[in-house]
Amino acid sequence: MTANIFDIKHFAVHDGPGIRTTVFFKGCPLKCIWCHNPESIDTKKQLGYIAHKCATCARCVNVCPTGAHSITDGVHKLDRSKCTLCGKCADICPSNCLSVYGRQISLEELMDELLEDSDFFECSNGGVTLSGGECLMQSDFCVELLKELKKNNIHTAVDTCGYVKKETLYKIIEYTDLFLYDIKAIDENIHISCTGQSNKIILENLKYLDSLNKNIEIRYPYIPGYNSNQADKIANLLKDLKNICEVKVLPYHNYAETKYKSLDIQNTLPTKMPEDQEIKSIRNLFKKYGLKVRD
Amino acid sequence: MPWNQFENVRPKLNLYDNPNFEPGSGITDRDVLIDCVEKIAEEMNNEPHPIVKAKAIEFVLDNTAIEVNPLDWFGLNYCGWLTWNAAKKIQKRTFMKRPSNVQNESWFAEIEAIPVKKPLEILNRRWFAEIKTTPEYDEAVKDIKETGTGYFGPDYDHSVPDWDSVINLGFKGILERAEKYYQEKKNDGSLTEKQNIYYQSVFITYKAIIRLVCRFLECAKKHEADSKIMPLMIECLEVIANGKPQTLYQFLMIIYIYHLLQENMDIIQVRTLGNLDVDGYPFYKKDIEEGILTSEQTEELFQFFFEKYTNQGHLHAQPLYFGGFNENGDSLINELSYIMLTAYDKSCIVNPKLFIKVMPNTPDTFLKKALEMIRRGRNCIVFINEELGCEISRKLGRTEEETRRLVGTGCNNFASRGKETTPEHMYVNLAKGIELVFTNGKDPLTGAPIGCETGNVSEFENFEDFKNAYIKQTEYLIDKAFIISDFYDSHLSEINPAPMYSGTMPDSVKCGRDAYHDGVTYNNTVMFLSCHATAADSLMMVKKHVYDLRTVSIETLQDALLKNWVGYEELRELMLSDPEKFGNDIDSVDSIAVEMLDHFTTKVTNRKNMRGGHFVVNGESIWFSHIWADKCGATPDGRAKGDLLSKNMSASIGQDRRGITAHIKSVTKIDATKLAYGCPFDYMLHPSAVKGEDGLDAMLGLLRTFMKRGGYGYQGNVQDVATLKDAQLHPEKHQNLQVRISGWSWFFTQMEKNFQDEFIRRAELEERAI
Repeated sequence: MTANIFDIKHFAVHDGPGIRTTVFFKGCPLKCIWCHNPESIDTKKQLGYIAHKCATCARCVNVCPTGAHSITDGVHKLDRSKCTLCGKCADICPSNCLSVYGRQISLEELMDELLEDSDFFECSNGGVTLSGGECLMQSDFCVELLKELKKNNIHTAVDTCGYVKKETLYKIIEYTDLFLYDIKAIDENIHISCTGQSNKIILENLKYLDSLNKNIEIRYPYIPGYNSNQADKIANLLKDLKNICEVKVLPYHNYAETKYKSLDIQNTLPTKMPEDQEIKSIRNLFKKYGLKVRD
Repeated sequence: MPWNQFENVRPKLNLYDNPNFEPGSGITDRDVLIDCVEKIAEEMNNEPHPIVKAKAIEFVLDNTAIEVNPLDWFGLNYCGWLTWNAAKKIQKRTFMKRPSNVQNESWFAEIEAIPVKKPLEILNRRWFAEIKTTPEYDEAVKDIKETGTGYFGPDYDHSVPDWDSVINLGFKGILERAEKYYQEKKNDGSLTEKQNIYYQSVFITYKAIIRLVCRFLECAKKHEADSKIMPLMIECLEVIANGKPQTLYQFLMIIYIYHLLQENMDIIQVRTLGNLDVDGYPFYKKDIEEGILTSEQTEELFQFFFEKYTNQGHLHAQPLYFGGFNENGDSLINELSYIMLTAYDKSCIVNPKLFIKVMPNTPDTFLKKALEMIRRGRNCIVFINEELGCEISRKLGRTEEETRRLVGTGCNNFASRGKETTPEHMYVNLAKGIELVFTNGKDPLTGAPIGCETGNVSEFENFEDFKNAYIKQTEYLIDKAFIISDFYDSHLSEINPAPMYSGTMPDSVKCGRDAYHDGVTYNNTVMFLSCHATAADSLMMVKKHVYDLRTVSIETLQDALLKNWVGYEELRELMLSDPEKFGNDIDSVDSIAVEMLDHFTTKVTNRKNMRGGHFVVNGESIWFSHIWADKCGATPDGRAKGDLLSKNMSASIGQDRRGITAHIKSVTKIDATKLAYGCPFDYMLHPSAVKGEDGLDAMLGLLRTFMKRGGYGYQGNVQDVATLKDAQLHPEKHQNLQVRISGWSWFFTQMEKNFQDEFIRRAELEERAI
């Protein structure tokens, strides 16, 4: 059994309690315009090239079996139509400007890597977080992975957008200690315009998880001018749920701009960033509803 | 009331740089005191050194001008006290100038170069010059410093007085204890002439100390009406003149006075001010109960106390330590520990420096308070694994009681409380042996035959041959270090007899022998084995690219190194970018580091020293990773001449590419019990990685994991590139920005640009990784 992942981040600090190792699964059913992991959306492998890091050393040109790389007048060019995503260029690139996103990993291989961090989990009350993309698009693998983690007494968190079948959630519930659950908007039309999908299933699933008494940390990505008027409505929904352990307001940033460029995909990122004061007042709003908010 | 004054009077507390001696109180010119000490040495030329030294101390303490600052709870000063700050000003040296420019001369040559000295240093220099060196010693020291092979000097700077004696007996009690042992020996007829000399030197010294305290007392009385502090200071000095401290203020005052005297008169650094939170707690508790102090006033009292050390400006800072555990295993962190930390935080200082003993039951809240300070840049704090310290202590044969009460000393190591002297005479560069293998023992830059002959590198058949040659070269350097250390150990008490320091040490005063002359239970000598990661990475690159993959021939690599990679830029890039380096949790290379350190530490610790003890190892590089950088040629890990060598136990700069968790895993593969006298790990974290409550929890998690995995010392920086660069451009806006250097911290804006650049580079690498 293998999974399609694009990264494993050690010392992940903001993906659940303690020190965590986060596995990023590739593929997502939503297309959030502010997505800060654009390499996570497509299930297919992708090659990223960061032009400003390139030293035009031509090692990629020499190693590429299909001639996808070339250097003309000191400028590097990548012909994606020729690229077979073999990854030889990324392996040899000394400036780390080339990366292949997406690889298959077996359950055993992944567990070996995760277990290496056991001391950090134990000493910090941390654990493993499944994230993405949307990890539950590969739910069969997730179930097995979560089972293995629980066998090893490791705390598990699943970071989900909630746009999954109820049965999928049911499969993993027994092995999941914490859900990191994204709520982007309550108004359906806003949700559709920002993510490309309705939020009906997402909101139903949230209530379903709550009814099963699972610990849920709500994550509200705050994007000025897009979903920034949803805070009150979200808080209003959450106040009636019983198992919301925490709310995290995630202030939008545009650090991912380079990633969009590196993948040659359309940059959909908003331009306006929230002020610190704005975030503070949103956090206070949630607090007023009696919700625990982590700064 | 005399409280809430610290910030108001702070600019007026530095008496060391701006003395205002009491008129008619004595000699106000340090040069005159120096002349007088020289005259005493001349006149008593045939007398035993301990007596000459004690007489010189007596003369200075009886005749120096003194002063009392009514604005300062600890406002005592006397002429002759040359602080580091004052010395630096006199020498007009730029602080933190690249050390290779200022520290490559010998220890004594440096002292010679200081135009104004501490009066008692005259004796050290004189007596050192009188000692006849041996041909073996002369041969061993040759070219060591010039070639970046190591560093040496007779060391009196890493011992700790028995604070229990100072606190529980006071100066008078220490004197009476010495008199008691003297009388016992005299009465039973066992007193030897040497013991008699020893005891007389202790008597002269401690009587002089008590007279000095009485002089301070009389001076303070003259100023009784000058401030509300003065009546309390008068009471304090009266108590100290007559016995042991009774209040927290008196406890701190006796520590301050003793420190002032040992460092300046005995010429022995006091390598910790002690376990202040634990030893001070009974005084604090009593003061609170009796209404003498409030917790807020205690905080202010510590701000005044810390300020003394800030004003002295010790280059590597004056340590003090927190924590420990009692007979039941309970943590001794207490209310005073928190108060002290708050006082330190408010003062925004790097001197003294803080050392926190960490056990699994050290409260999270206390550790988080310290970590939160570090995250804000108040980073003059090191965490030391006490559980590991106990394991080491038992291995070294200390008793359970001694183990429980280990002293946290120097930058990051442990010693037995009141029973140990730990001179650190020798530093050995573990990376140097790599160069010497390629040159068959000759320093490539100077041509000096610093190593041994291991044959022509091109005739080696495999990596084992190369590795064995490296081991042979390094062992040869370690053997030289033994010769040098033995020479110093044999003459320590002749060069600098220590009547003041020895007087505090119960073993010494009981047997009537100088603490540096077998007078204590534990007489170990420390040898530093530094820069292991550069050596391990280099060995790995040779193994992989020369012998396993055959990417490059040994002759080509040899030529590239001798030419400092000029013409071999691609090869250098290959070596630099190869990820198989120490610090990434990669067993192939980590095991080389483990194997080498295991081999060399075994060799060192199996060797007895000349004072009845053993050699022990410290893995710290202090700042030799800078000092040796220009003197070591290119190394196979891709490092060019002048690039820094690896620092402390950490990876070479920029080679820890898999993040802090992998870095910790690599470092903790090394058996730290074999580096028993210290081996700190330095981390660099980006502020965004540890922001918020989650971030602080994670910082604690890293610390706890490091300790659980058997790491020794844990210290580092949480910095971002933008702030550091802005501080370089606009120092006026970042006066308080601190960075951890090695076993101490300093203000970033006061450092030389090349030092600043190192931190910026580390931060850039960290930023790229997130």
